[in-house]
Amino acid sequence: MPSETAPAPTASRHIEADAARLRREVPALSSVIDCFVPVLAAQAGVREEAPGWTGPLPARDEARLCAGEFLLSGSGFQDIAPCLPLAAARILPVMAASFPALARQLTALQAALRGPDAPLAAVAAAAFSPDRAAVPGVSPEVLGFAARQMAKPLLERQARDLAPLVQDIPWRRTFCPVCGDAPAFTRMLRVQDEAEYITGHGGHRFLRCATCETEWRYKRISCPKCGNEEPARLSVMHAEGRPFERLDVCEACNTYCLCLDCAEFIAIPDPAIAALAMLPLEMRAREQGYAPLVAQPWSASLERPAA
Amino acid sequence: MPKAFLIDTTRCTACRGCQVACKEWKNLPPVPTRQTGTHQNPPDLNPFNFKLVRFSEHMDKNGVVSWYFFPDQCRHCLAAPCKMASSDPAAILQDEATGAVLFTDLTAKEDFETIRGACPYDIPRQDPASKRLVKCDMCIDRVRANMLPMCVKSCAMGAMNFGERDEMLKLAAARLAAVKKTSPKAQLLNSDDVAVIFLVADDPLKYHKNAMAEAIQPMTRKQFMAKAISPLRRIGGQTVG
Repeated sequence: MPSETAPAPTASRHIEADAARLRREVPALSSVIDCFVPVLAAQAGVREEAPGWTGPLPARDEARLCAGEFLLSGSGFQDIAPCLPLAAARILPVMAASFPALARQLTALQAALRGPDAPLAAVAAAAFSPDRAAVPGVSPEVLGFAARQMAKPLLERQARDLAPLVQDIPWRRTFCPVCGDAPAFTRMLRVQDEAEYITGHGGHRFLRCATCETEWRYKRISCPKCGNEEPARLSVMHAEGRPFERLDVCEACNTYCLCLDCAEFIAIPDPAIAALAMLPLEMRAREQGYAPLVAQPWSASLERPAA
Repeated sequence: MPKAFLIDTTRCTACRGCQVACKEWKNLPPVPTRQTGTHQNPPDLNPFNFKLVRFSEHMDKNGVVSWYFFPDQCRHCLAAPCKMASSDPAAILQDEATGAVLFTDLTAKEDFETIRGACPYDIPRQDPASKRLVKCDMCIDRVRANMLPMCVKSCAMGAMNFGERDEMLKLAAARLAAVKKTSPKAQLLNSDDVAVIFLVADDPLKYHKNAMAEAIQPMTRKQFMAKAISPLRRIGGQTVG
């Protein structure tokens, strides 16, 4: 795992500052930034406020981890339902302002979560299986979307507490060592070490979990979906003038994954803002028939490639 | 937020990647040179080399020769004597956001020897064609775009570091403590006064005669006089011209 310090309480400001820079650099993304950055900032605030993993940490079984069994494979995350009122109060009003077409349903959901018989368990379940939950006045699609946005920072906060348990495990899998989900984003990071030999300029490649944002090191030349390592069937797409943002494309499984090459950066941009900046690249990849390894909230509705 | 470099000479292998990367990024022309019995090449900073890895050899009392490497460059002084010595306040600027000391086209009208003499590290050079004074500009174009200076990006040994000043000072203190365990004479050079902090393991003079400023004086008497008469000199120049 990269040795980054835990996010400071200024995480929301960091996101907004990176978004302001992106807006200056790519004005065409302004409308998407206006929609999603307030939500991302609200999520960062919830991540700071949330209690995280409560009680004793799960037992760490190194043998099972080394054999490829992720940490929460037998138990899953702790129930997020008790924290949903906090997340709803912070995130749903922001979402309602960002997505006016959904405002009525989001307001209804917020009202439902405030009541004495709040369907907390149902909404928590909707984050993972939207079709199995129902809240009056809220469509399954909107419920799933809103529930995922509320659940994400709560799960990330739990995962942050669990990260030390997998920190020094030589995990080189394509799924998260904490929760087992797929990566939605990758980064090339230069990691400072005390080695007295020449180190590569490109840094190590880290995959970032779509659900809990845990990061783990992975091979640089290997598809994080199918494991293809044939150089001739792995390629990179990037936009002119922004070589540090790229899509790693696998011709073997027709999948792409977002990658931010941080080797040249002074300050590492927030991963969510970096992912948002790659929306034009994602559109190009979809047009060429590639599918995302995991869709981002802003790219989920892009046209799916023909089967 | 002011920026700073930490140049850890204990990690430098004198590969000169930084020197070449600087030249490439700035698109500076080649300089005729010749072998002078040292790997230091070119022999000194010049208008087309803003970064130079200096080589020095020293033999100890046991006959063991040690090689000292010093990737020399502008220190981007916090209170820059070159700026104080300039006659036109717009000739040399200090970028508020980064602390970079920047020479503008107006330096062509400055007295080169006065500006060069003001620098305790003997950094400024003059372009013979444009008469502009030149030196490292911290890759300000890259830094404003959140990109590392080229010399830092190119360093494969981790000798060149760049970031927020407080972070670099922390890193410098940590590295100094580590190096001191094996090199008791290790020190940071002028770390309170400059934005380019060198960590050396031995007497700074063994690295380069201008590795360290004895004491940065805002202005010598000579520079003060030069500055005082510079408006008159310029008027005189205009009259004559």
